[in-house]
Amino acid sequence: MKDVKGRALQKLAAMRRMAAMRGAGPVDVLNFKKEPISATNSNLECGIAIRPGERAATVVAFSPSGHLLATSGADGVIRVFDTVRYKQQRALTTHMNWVMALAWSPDGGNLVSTSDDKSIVVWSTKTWEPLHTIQGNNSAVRCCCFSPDGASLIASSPDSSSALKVYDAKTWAVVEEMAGHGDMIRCAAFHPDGSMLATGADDNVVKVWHTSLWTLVRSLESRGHTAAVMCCAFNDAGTVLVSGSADKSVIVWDSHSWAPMQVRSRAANTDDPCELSVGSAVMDGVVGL
Amino acid sequence: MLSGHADAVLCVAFAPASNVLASGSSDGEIKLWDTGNWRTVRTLTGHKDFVQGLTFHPNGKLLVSASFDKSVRCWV
Repeated sequence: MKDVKGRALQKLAAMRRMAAMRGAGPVDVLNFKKEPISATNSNLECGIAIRPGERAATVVAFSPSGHLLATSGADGVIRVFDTVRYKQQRALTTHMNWVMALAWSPDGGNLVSTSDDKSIVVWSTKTWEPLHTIQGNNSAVRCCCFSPDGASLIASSPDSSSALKVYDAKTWAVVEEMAGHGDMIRCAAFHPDGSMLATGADDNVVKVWHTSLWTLVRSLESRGHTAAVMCCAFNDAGTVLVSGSADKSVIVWDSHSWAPMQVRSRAANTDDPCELSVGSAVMDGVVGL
Repeated sequence: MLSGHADAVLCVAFAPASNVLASGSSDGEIKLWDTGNWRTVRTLTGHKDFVQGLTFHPNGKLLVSASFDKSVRCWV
């Protein structure tokens, strides 16, 4: 049994070395130019197309200061770009599978990555070395976020994708674990004042948690999503929570009543007062890069 | 409910200190919504595959998107 584990660890180390070599490639900025999207939208431009790797890009995150942009994707390599020339400054390699979430600590001192390789890695942004690795056994980790005060890190558990874990952001010890959802958790977002956390999952449900005791405030199911909840975010003021879903909709939740907000239709010829009409929306031209 | 995307909504991001919400979809489109009236103000096309990630620069003037089409785009 010990040998099996030893061999597995050796294999993992070899795979990580290969990943390190893979990430040591050239700088990947293919295009650096600014051009308008269309003549009618001259104030909105598609400036730069970066090709971070040879595989799908899944996540982008600006550092709190805005000086750095971190990207990652299917190759598991985290690339850090400066935001002046958008040149790659670092390629961080350790993940063996897709990276689906990145989170900067509010003070910018740590970058956390979570991966389908069942691990959560905390990087120092001084040395760009891994400070801490949380290696699970069973589950891809699809989401993570820091509390606004930087004291806690939330992530889905690397041992059960439907469970949530709260980590102390100094010791990286597990502070709390919640059963979470009935299926894989896809997203998590803090209320800007830190008092609440919202999570969304493949069970179609958005849940809101008190962060003082980590108890459930509300399970948003009524008039909710009819397919997996892929993403969620609070606005700056904390007055609304939005959730996006595989059911193609975005729901705007009032963060006091937790009811979906009624959005008045722009088009006069539709009967549904909740729906925006895409037909009346401004459509922009295709970006050619 | 904000409808308008033709496929799954994979990512959302609020612009800091602004009245804009961005959402990205499996059909490669990004929509910008006015958070005052929740109407679509722009549809950003260009990605040829899932838009899986979105982030606003802290100054609110730049939106960056990550796509399964292997590109990252910056929208200013």
